Amino acid sequence: MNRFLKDNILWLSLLGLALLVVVSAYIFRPEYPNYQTDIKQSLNLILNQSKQLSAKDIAGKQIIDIRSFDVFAQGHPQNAVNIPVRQLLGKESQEWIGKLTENGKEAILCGDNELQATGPWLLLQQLGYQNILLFKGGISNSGELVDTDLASSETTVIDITALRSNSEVIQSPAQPEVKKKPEAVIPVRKVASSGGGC
Amino acid sequence: MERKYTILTILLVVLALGLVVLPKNKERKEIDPKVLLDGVVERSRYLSVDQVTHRIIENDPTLLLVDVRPADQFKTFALPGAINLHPDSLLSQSGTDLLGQPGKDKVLYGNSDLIAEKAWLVCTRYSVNRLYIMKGGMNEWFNTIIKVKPATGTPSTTDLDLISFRNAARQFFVGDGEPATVTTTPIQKEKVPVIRKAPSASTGGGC
Repeated sequence: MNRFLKDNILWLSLLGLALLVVVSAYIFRPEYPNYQTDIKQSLNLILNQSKQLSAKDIAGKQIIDIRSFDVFAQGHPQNAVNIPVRQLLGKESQEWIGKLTENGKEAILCGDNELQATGPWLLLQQLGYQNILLFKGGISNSGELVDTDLASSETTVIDITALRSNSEVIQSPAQPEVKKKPEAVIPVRKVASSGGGC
Repeated sequence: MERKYTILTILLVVLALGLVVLPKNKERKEIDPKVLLDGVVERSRYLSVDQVTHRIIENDPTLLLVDVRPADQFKTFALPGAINLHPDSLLSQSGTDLLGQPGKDKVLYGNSDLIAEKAWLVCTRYSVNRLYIMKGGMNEWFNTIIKVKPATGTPSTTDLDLISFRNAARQFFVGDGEPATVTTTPIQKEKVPVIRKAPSASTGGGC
């Protein structure tokens, strides 16, 4: 055996090193969740409305309130679970969302408004959490779910006729003016020459 | 000698297994999801409509406006110099060439923030730098710049400056291109009584 080791020390060292590299790569592999969607799938999610629900469609869904603890404490929808947005990718949150996925339950992500929940929702979709839906609205101060108003939605409110007309000029409020005291004008006449003559 | 080949074979098998364990080499560089989430919470990606308008009027060469609205709406009206990119083609070859331009601030806008926000997130995941969103989109731009609201109460100097700027910007976009002047009431000149002095008697003498 010793002779075998002696004859093959170089090869065995290389084998040991390779094993070490592979085991280290496995142990120190990144712990963050990996993206599950490719470019095409991610881009398709931008215009996909099928996973976005309004207030009337959320019955039976687990509500995830991503607002801060303080705001959540002031008022929140009934049966809502608070996971502040910064903690969405934390270990506990990931386990909890993972269990929901395993049980086949759907959850709906809500924030102050639709915009606050849009980014986190799209990120979770790309991480493979297909059962997480987006609420098309926000949570009011009293903790009720309110749909997004028209101006905040992707519906255009641009009035083309207003853009093309140039008749109306909006006046800014008149600036205070400093009045000068009128001055009397006294014409100055040429002083008559006092020249005399002989 | 045969043993050496056996060991070499085992070595290659181990290295091959290592390739399976190691993460796949993605075709594009992606940022860590946690870093991306931090970016989502940050608000620095938003530029106000006034900031964007100012840069348009100044003809800022570092500004690249990317309109992610439908093509028909883009044809009807779009911000000067904007390029229409459908969200599906943001990371196509042409989209990547456009968004990958160094030294440019790429500003995304839709009708509101929602589509632009999603486009920002996907592009940022794939490491597109200097990417911003015009806060409120075209709806906010229209309501702020075109439908300028007069100040109520006693406006501060800052408010007055802002309204003047928006009025001028409005003229720039919908008018004949000449900057608007702030309309003020003309100053009425008061009639000043002229006091005429009687000509004094000449003291001219003679011989």
